[in-house]
Amino acid sequence: MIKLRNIAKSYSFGQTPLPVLRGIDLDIQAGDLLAVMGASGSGKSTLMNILGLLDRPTSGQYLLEGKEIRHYSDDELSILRNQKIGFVFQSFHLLPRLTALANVGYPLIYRNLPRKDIEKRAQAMLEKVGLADRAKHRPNELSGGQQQRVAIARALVGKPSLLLADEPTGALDSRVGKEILDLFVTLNQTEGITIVIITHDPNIANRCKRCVVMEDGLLK
Amino acid sequence: MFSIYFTEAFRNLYTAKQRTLLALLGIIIGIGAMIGQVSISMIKGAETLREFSQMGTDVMVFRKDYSDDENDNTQISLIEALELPRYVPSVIAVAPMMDSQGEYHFAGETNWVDILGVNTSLPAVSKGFQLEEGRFFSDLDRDDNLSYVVIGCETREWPGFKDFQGKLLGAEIKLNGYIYVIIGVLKCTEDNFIDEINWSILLPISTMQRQFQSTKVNRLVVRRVANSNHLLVSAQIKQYFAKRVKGLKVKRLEWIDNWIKREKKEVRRMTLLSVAIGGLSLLAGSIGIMNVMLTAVIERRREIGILRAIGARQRDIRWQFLLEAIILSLIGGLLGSGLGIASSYLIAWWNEWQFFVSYQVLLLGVGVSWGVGIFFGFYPAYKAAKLDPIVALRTE
Repeated sequence: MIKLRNIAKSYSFGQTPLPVLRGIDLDIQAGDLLAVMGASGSGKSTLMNILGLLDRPTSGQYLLEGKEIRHYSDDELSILRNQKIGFVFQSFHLLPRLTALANVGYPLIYRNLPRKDIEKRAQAMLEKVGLADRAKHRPNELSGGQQQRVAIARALVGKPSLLLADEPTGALDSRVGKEILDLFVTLNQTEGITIVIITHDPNIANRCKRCVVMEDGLLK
Repeated sequence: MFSIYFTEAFRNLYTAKQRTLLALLGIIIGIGAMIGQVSISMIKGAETLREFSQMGTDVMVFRKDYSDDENDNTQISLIEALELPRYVPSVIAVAPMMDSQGEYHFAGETNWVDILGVNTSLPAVSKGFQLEEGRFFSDLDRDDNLSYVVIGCETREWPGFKDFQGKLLGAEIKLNGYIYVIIGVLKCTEDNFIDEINWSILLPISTMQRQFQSTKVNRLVVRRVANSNHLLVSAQIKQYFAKRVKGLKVKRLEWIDNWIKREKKEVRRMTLLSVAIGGLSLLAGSIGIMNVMLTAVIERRREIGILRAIGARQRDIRWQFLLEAIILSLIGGLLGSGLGIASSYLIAWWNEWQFFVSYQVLLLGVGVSWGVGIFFGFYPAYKAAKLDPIVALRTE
């Protein structure tokens, strides 16, 4: 489903370019549950940004469902993000003013769906993550674990091809973290959702189907 | 989609109440100052023009054109003057005037005085014409044995009249050797084209022609239909006299129109000036909006990053912020226009000017606030849209 071929990314600070990714080859199949491990500074966040279409590689090939995305415009990438990618962040990144339901439904606004449909789908998704009774709560009225569940529901509401989770349990205590991880595993097994988790926690990696380790901008 | 932008914009503005309120205050005062100034200068201008027209914008004064030699042997005669309304329908009334000087003898005093021959139309051409006591000449005064005069207000204070103890009305006065009966005293008028009646003694023009043995009319005061074109009427009158009396050229004394023209120009200048001054205060308010929006962009960087991650395009972000600025300035503009109009109402009321709301002022208020929102909202919105989503997401 996703093919990365010789992906490189470098940032230029003044004259000298600083390479962050130095030729990554990676295949992600539909239904994968992949952990990307690596120390901080190894380039795994940059890899996630590229996978998530938030950033473009300096060189190399990125095929998403067979389409080369390197020459897509900013608008086209935005639409692709909206339709193909779901993000889960370490610090949840919910919109604080909105209820859980509105947060979950927000990505569908950019698809011009009628409000009723959006609410129906958001409600169904909240049920799936076990938060149906918290639909009208705002993020600051929810615990960390609950907020992350809302974020997962938001990531999945648009039926994306790929769920990208960046340290999803990093801000949670270990018991809640395990619950979230369980949710990922369940979603992967029962719904067949393709998930990539970026983490430095070996316990998480052990529960994934596959694990790759990044070091110094390369996959080991 | 737009309704979402709208509700989002309102929600964001509501969330940042304090900032919104401050920005609103700036724009309200800015637009209010501008609209108030423009409104009051228009009201004041209309008031000045009204004063002028009470003096008589529909009044025109003609006399023989002495600058033309061919004109030498001709003159405006009373009959032609009086027949003018019949041939030029836009003319409501004609007051021919004849002036001369003479010596009066009254209550033992003798003095020189201006003598004006007028007809019964004088009150019809002059809005400022008013009697202090007695009456004016009437078409019914047919008795040739009795000749009447009316005294001007300043003449009333002259030797003989001033200390006169008896009843002025009905008293006899000698003018150039003839005996007249005083039938009325005028109030002072500020009508510039006939203000010499204040220091004259008025005679019926027919009487004056008989006694001065002249048929000459020096001046013609004409009142035209209010909404007629003064240039057209003026041309028609000139044509009429040229036709009736061979070689006669009459000339219009244009000074009232020139005054009005000058005054209109002055009003326009004052209005522009007030737009400029009001515009400055509006600029201050507008910069407030830009400031508030820029702050909002910085404060909501993470939110912008989140929205970009879940699929917002740059234009979605741009619209959202632009719409906030526009809503802010439109609300501010609406309230500010209300404030400006209300304050111009107060000022008008205080000065006893006639208050009105001109549609130009309303258009200006709405248009300017709309423009301010777009202009000063665009840069912050552009900045928000151009934020790198990765950097924005990393903001804590």
